[in-house]
Amino acid sequence: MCAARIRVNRGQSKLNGTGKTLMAGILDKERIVAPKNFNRWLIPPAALAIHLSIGQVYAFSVFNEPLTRIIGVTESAPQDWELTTLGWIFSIAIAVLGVTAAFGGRWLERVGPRKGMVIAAIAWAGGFLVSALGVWVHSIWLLYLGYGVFGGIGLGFAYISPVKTLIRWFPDRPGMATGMAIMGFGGGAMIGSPLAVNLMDFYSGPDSAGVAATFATMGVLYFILMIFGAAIVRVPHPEWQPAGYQPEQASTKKMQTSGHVHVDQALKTPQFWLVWAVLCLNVTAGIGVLGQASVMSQEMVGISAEAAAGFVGLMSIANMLGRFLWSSLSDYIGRKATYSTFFVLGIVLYAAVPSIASAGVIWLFVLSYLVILTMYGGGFATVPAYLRDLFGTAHVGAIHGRLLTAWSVAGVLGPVIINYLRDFQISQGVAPADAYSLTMYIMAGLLAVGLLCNLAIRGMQERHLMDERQLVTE
Amino acid sequence: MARNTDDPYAGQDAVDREASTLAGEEHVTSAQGRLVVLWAVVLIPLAYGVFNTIEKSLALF
Repeated sequence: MCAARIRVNRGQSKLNGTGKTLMAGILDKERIVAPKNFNRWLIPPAALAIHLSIGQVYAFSVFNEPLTRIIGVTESAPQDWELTTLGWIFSIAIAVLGVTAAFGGRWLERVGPRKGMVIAAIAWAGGFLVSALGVWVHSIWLLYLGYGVFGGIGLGFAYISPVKTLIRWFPDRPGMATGMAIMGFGGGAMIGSPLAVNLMDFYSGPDSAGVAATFATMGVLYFILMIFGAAIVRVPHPEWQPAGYQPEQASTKKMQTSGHVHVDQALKTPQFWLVWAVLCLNVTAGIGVLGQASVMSQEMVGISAEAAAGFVGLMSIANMLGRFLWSSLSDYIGRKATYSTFFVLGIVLYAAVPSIASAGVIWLFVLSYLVILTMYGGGFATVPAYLRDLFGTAHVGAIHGRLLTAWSVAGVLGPVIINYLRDFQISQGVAPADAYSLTMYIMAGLLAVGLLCNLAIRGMQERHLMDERQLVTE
Repeated sequence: MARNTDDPYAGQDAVDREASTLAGEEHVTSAQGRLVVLWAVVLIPLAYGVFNTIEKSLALF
């Protein structure tokens, strides 16, 4: 009887402050307001479920080789797709992610995290299902539309949906909270890769490479996990605060704003563009190395292809752990100091790597790159808390969405710098082992620019803050 | 139980108070159980992924 009464209470319409009746649907923000004594540690699993699912995007390359033998099955047939054709699937997904996060963030602010997560789940899982159909009928355009466009939309919404919610639940430790979620994005590839390989082994046979069935299965599994996240997510009660937390004390910190900046206004501040440059340069330095780690380690220190695969695996773990550890540390030492550490340490390590490689000290070479990768991941995970400090919480999700365009730019810039410079140097007669030295020094230079941008960031000026009237209408 | 109709969240407060009072200790235990289950749902797949990656990484040593 009690449970029935609870259900009735939760299902009924409520009155808002103006006396207007609103019937909240199960996805609406109004329906997921937690009671005052809600345990906030129930929220990170919701965010992790979302990010673990979409982190699969970094493991998409496991499908590349099987997708080149859909018709030939055991080996590629003349009508089969080529790797260059398939490469566009991942590129489209990342590009659509950036666009969705940039333009969808404002809408997500209005509708709340649950609706955002459900839309993301439908788009992400739908992308897999459309791709399965694409493989089944052998249409590359369906893969571009499925994984590329629908999947990219799912990625964009899913990436930013839980971030603001976590920041609101953990105002005393926003770095740690967002680090937990964004760590999931790093960990998602580690799940997606073996899962896809095992499923393709299971479904493959004399007539099929097993890719279509694998796509369909993964779509269903990710849909379930993401809907689980959407079902358990809650937003804090307006009067809720963590025990012992005093917002007045927190806002007296030099870099922490006492108010909120509108997303449109944020783009007019130097702080936004400086943080944009900081993220872009930090990601550029890491992403190029990440993409070329296998070949680079074989050419620079002469390890075997198998050992290089192990090196790439360790880098993934470093990338994931860095997301949690650095962002948690930033709650204590501050975001500015954290990014300054990334840049100073990064400059030293990038500048030292060519000498370490030529000396043949493999363990130090590996250790240097692992530290670099922790800082690459840490850069992603610390930035939402940096934005919250500078711009307040009101529009932090939308501002974060716009900032992710820095990731898209870095995604192009990093690999281009590494690949182009390597090819150029080799064409000039430089030995492959030495071809990365110039690139490493250029990366160190980019990090030096990033350091200057970070040092130039100041606390938010009062004139950019929203007034009481704007806060009410927003 | 009096409800403040000016407060859009009044209903949920009431629900929560009601649930806490009626269920008592059982409510606390089930909340802890829920915490364990929710974390397990995400940490088990993550552990599977990390284990697989570490296994592959052993080739480096």
